[in-house]
Amino acid sequence: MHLTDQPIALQPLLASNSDACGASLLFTGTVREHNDGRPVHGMRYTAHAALAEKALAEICRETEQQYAIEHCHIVHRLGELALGDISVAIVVHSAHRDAAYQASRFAIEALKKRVPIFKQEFYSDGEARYLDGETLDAAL
Amino acid sequence: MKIKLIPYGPLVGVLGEPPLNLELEAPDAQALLAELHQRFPALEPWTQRIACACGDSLLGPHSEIHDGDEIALIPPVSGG
Repeated sequence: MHLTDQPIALQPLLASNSDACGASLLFTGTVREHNDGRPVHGMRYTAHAALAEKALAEICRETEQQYAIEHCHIVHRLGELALGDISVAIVVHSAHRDAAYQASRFAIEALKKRVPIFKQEFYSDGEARYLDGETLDAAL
Repeated sequence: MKIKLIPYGPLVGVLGEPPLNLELEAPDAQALLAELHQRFPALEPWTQRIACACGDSLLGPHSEIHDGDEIALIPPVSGG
């Protein structure tokens, strides 16, 4: 499973390493206190769960194949998040660091373009808005 | 034919809470969106920015729409 409504536990992701790997790289995205100059106090993530699970699994597979890494796993949080909460975690395990850095970057950029997850920001002045994101290639 | 629409993200604010039961004549996904844009002018900012899905599959422009289908409307994505 790639989606969760619970806080993301990082230790199990790092522990998924094997003896064949000399590099493990963990990327996390967290809720920050400002965006476009506006103070933020929280976020809510929603998703088309079936499509998002499928897209995240595809991205993990592509990442492993294109960068010849041992393992890639992505977890994305859904629901209400507070400042500092982890919204997404990506872990890659590989033999060497170069592949790990490239693979991690590929995975997060692909996620932002292809996974039907929607971010709504809540501002300190009481307003809320959905962030304008990336149009899917399948858009009509 | 009758279909059920499931809008996501900011489209909920435009179309209302899902599901929306609508009667449409659109034979395919492209025609479905064209009809929706006519009925809901507030969708204008999302012109050519909405993808359609049925189950866990994205639809192409000529994917057929059938009576009773449940169609998800996917606006631009903003995960991460």
